[in-house]
Amino acid sequence: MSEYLTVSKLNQYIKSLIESEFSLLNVVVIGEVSGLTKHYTGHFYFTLKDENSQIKCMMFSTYASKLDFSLENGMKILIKGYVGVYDKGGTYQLYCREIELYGEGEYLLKLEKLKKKLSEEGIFDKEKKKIPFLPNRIGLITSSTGAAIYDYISTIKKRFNVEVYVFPCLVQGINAPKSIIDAIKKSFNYDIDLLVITRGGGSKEDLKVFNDESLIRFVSDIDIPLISAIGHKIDTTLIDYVSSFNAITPTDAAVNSVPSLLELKTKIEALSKNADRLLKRKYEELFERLSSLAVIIEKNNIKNLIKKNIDRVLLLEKRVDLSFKYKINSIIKKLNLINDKINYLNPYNLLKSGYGLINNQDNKLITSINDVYENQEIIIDINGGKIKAIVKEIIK
Amino acid sequence: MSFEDKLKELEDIVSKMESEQLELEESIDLYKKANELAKNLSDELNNSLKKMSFIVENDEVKELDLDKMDKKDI
Repeated sequence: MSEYLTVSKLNQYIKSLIESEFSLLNVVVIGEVSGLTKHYTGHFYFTLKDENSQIKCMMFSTYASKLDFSLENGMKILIKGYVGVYDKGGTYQLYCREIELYGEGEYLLKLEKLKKKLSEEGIFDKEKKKIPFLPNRIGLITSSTGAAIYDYISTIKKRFNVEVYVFPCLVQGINAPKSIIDAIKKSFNYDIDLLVITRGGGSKEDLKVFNDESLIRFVSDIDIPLISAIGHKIDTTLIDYVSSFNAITPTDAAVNSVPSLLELKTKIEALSKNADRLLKRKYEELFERLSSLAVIIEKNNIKNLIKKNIDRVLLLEKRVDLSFKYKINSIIKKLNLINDKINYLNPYNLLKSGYGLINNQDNKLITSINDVYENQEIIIDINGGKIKAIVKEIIK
Repeated sequence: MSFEDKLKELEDIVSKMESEQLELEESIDLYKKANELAKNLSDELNNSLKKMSFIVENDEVKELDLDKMDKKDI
């Protein structure tokens, strides 16, 4: 070795040392992504870090194009690759061949894939069952210990007390999905018309149960409307995609299970009062109509009209010149003639001449022989009164 | 007839009484029906207070008493 080295030589020497180290040729490293740059050439550059340390990483486009998810800052990942030196920059870095999501990241990826699969099968598009306005009997599927039962039932009691049947089940752990399915199946024997699955709060880990494929498929097939109340608003689970309604908490589920008794009571009372008011108004309306009709009849009575006109003419007669007397007399004659005609046309005046009007039992005028049958009771109006008679024979 | 159907009918009757030109007899009939429905619905509301809750464990149906539930658990 000469007395001095060039920078290039030194870096090349370090590169040869590091890259010939067997243990660095195949490494598996976990850490969090930061400072990610996706270069237009397709290469990825980023820093992988943990709480105490960090290392520069790069992934060539040939590998990067094979990733089945989009790499983002903050992701926890597992890298398979080797350590090499970039001699131009004098830096060592981790060259990635494969990257996988690690821990929760991996779970979320699987969940995303399941969601896509179920969605493509149309499981989420099935028509959701309508929640009954007032359920007759609610089935509550939840853990037998826990605030959920208390919160749910006490809210139901306060709001609108209906029958609640609790079907206890596991809500966490690997046996939970089967336990929930069994509890729902059991509820089928109890005439339940609304199901509620709830769990109260809890860690994200617990929510996995409600993303279980067999549970989602089972729930999507049941004929009873179902409210899910699995977590809080930010934690959406796949069961929410197949339920009729997603509540946030057990209390919220109860509020959405039954209407408010108080509100209904107020509504029914208001409707009842309205019916009272409307009937009263009807009576008043009719009374007003009758009164105004009476006035109209009074005003328009033809006899009155004629009489009024005669009176008016007589009054005028007194005022006018005698030379008009003849004319006025002829008008009076005409008016009297009309009056006589009206009297003549009145059917009841005919009775005076010996005619009779035949009515049926309902007092409706019989105008044809076809409206009469034997042994029918009829009422005959004649001058001075009525005759009740029985039809003995019909001769056509 | 369900509670909802009865409530709907009561609403329909009252709006019919409100909007249509009805004979007096018809109004009285509707009013009677409305009164009967309102009473029926109120009775149903009052009856709901007696409803109970149950827990089904090992195919056994037991009455659930919220007041006796171990509050430490919940």
